[in-house]
Amino acid sequence: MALMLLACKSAWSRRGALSLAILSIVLSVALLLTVERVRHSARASFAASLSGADLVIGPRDHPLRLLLHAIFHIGTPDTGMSWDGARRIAADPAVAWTIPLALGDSHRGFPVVATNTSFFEHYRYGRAQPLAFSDGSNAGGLFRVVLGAEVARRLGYRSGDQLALSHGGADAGHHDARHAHHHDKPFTVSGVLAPTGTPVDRALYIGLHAMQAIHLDWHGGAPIPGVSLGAADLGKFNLEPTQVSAVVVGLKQRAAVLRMQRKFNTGAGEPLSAVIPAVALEQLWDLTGAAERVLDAVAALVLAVALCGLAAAVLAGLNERRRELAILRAVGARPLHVFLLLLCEGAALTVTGAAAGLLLVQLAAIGLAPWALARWGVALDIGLPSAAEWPLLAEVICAGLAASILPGWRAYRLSLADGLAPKV
Amino acid sequence: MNVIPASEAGATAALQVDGLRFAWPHQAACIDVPRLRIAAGESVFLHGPSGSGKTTLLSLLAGILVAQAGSVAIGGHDAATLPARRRDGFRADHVGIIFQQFNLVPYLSALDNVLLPCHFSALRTRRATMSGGSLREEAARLLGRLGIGAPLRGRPASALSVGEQQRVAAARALIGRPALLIADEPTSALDDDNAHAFLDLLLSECGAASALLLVSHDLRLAPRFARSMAMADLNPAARPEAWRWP
Repeated sequence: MALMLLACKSAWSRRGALSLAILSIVLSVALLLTVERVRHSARASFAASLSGADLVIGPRDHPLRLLLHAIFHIGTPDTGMSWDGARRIAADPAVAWTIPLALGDSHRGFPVVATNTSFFEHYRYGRAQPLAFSDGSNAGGLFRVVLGAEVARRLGYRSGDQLALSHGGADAGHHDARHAHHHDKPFTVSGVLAPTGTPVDRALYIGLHAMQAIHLDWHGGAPIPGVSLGAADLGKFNLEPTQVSAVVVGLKQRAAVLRMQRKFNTGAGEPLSAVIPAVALEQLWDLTGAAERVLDAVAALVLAVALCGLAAAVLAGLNERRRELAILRAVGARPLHVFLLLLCEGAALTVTGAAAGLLLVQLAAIGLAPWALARWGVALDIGLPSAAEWPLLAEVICAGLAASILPGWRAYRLSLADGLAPKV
Repeated sequence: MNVIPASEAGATAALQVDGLRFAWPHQAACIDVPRLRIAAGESVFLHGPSGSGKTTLLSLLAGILVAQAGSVAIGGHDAATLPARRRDGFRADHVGIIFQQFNLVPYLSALDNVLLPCHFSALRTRRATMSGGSLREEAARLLGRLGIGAPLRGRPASALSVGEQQRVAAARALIGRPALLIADEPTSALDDDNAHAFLDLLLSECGAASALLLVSHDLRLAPRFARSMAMADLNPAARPEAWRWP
């Protein structure tokens, strides 16, 4: 303990010479933590997009592809599943609720999701939070649309505004002349959802019936020439949808999830894929794991460079401290004490650097959190360091100790050779 | 353990050297001290010009160097028989050292410098605590006795004058009453007035508790001591043929 205090005071007296080495540790620790935190936040954000859902069921497809399309609106599916199939799932006695989702249209680059009121009722994000409206509500006529927070913000819509949807997915391109539009049936914005930090923010929500209605006079992805139905005529038609992209399922008992997954996967009739979101996301992280490991390795290398810089700075200062070491020997310090003193110094410097790096990341997270949420939909962690970060910090400090062994050994040798009379 | 002859063992000697021989590797013997005894509380002046092996002798006495032959006993305990790691603790317990200059750890305050030996010696911590009530009080008391007032005690050592630094070094050597104080030219960095004032303080503070062995080339200091001897008499090893590094 006394050695630690001595080491801290000694380091403080040389703070000018050591400050750059510490700064490099601060920055490298910040980098290391940022990589960890962005990874964690990205995973948390993905996981937060579907809290409370037990299964996502869609047409037979790769589980990851189905999930990415249905929930994250990434990629285009080959087919959909029948509305009858969706209704059979909803009628299953083990199923508590279902949210049907139909994708395919877009508006100025944002995907349009057709669903029903159970979406607003049962969809949960983050820590099982329900959706909330920041403006308006889901009430209105057939051609009403609810906007995600980012859609409303980026495109400047408020409830009451009118907009036209485009045929084709968000991936198909932005608003251009060649794109087929549903100009004849404009939608009215009935409400805007509060920000969630999930893909919900970047989508528009219409009713399944409305989706069916705007495609009544269409065939094969284009308007049928000469046929144009006015909005007023629609009441005569059956607006039950024929197809949906996927169904999000909540079970009455979560424990039944594996049994139900098997049941839907192997059921007779239409071939379906039932996906447990967390399991499919794990597959995604396995895919991205290689890239993450590269990032980790780069961050670790940067830290190693910083620690080498620290060891070099301490070593360079050692010659000027031979007198100090001789004094310590004279008052009874053993060469081992001298070694430990240098180790303590390395530990103190690394702890300082790691703490400052943590603080830097924390401040940056607080400062950037609103921006990251708005820009990327990634909710940055602002709380205390996560369970994964403490071991990381401990490793940094151990590495700092390891890097101090060389200066410690050198000081040990010097104090043995010099005794009471340093040859300076 | 070195057995002290009964005739001299009236009181345990602060320092008892017998047949001490040392040579640096591949060089002629530079230390050959058949006998040196300093009684408890005695003050001894050792005169030696530079190059006469003073520093080597002091390192041997302090247990930093280990002789090839002979014994060094401090307070009745032979340090040479101890393993290396214990010798350092032995020095911390029984020996206070004052250098010519640059005695202090520059980034510590005067008070913290005085407390340094106590970090390495439980014995001296105990004695200092008993004498002063608490470690810091004892350190402050010693500094006060040596003329380092309260305002100076908290200052970093690097902000003190050379004379003040030497007095702080004396307080550090004295804390916890080690059996032997070794001072290597402690006044040579001081002007005459300061040197004499420093010596007065050092001698009076050592008192009966600690023996003092002061080495200097300045013969004018000699009359202040109970006993005075010359390096040349003590260490006839200057004869190169006498003994060589094996």
